[in-house]
Amino acid sequence: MSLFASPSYPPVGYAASAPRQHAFNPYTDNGGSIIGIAGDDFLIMAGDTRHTSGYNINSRTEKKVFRLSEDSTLVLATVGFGADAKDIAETMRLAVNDFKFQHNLKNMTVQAAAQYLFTVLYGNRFFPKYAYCILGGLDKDGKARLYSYDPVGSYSKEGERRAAAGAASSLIVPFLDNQVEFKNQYVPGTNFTVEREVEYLPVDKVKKLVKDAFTSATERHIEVGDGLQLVTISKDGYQEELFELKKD
Amino acid sequence: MSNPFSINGGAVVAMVGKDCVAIGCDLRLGMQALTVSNNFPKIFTYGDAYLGLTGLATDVTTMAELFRYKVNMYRLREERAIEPETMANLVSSSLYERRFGPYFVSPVIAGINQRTGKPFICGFDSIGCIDFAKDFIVSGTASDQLFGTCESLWEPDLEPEDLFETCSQALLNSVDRDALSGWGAHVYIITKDKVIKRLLKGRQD
Repeated sequence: MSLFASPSYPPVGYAASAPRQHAFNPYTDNGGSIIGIAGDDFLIMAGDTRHTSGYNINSRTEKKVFRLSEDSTLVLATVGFGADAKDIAETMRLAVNDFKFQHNLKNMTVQAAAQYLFTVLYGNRFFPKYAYCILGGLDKDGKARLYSYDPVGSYSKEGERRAAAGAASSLIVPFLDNQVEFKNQYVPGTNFTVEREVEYLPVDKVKKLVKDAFTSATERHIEVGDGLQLVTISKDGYQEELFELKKD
Repeated sequence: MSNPFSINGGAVVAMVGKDCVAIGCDLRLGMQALTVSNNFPKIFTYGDAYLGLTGLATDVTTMAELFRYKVNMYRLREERAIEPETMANLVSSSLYERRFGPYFVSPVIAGINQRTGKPFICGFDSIGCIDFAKDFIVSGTASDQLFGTCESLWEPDLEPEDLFETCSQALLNSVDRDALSGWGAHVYIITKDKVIKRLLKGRQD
């Protein structure tokens, strides 16, 4: 199934009589997972650093979270087909850089980058880039903004509080529902009539949740593991941390 | 979508705590995307052993009744209730008997051995291979989601009420992200001398 699978040769001495069909498969699923969580004035973007094809591990150190420029708060995380994911990140990096010189050294806003990413993805509507994207950054008031996309670009302009994508998203999403948006939690003593109110979480709490989500996903999903790239965006700028995940 | 394991939908989870076990299931019965019933429990009791069954609904009912018969015969012969460990081997051999034409079910057993006082849980594939777990067992169409929630919410040696909360939160949040499961839940919290069965309403969509 792999794009780079070794070619199979017909056995020597046999005439190639049966009709053979050749196919080029342009996509591979390279596994991995990403998470984005928006705080009030900070943003956490994270991804594991395993890169797989089938049961093989191609790399244990391939990062999935990309900083779109050195002087803006824009960060893009991508999973899916690794080559397409990287290409989207590069296209976005170029666009953000270009924008700056076309607009009197003013940086692209998150809202603008979000709309532009949609254009990039939908531009490939009939030969899609097979990658799921999560875009984040701080807006002009310093508030965190987070957007998540499907491979052909659909996204919500309001943005999200948290997003997860990739191989282990089905494992991570219900956990985040419960711990970030307090789903299925009620105020004690109200006999299940008052839902627990959603509030912005502090940075250290969010980091703990992200680490828990990835250690759990690593434990139960073979395509997730090796390393955790954890990026924090706040008024203090861009901070990147790397943590170990299980390598089995 | 012609996979027999995901036509009717459903989810079951079992967890071990400190001298206690919990087992929970959702209540949905569907035909593909159409919900037919919101009162189809998937946990059945056989003395000290609690059996959860997900998969093809007709097989769930058939197996539940088959084990009622088999466990009744066991009790008549042995003049005592069946132990959870014995129940596990009964389920395993009954499934393997149909090795080449299996029942499309993924059973889960939970219980406390009344003789030793030890908590016991285990799960099976559809042909009877037993998965003895020290922590938790999940099964059904929401198993991916349950693996995620259980792996991150569960911790060792939970007291009965904390185990109930952990099990319920893991189940509820998982079925809310699975279109084929949900519509309420049953959760049993089992200690050596007491069993509490709670009905959770959950989201009705």
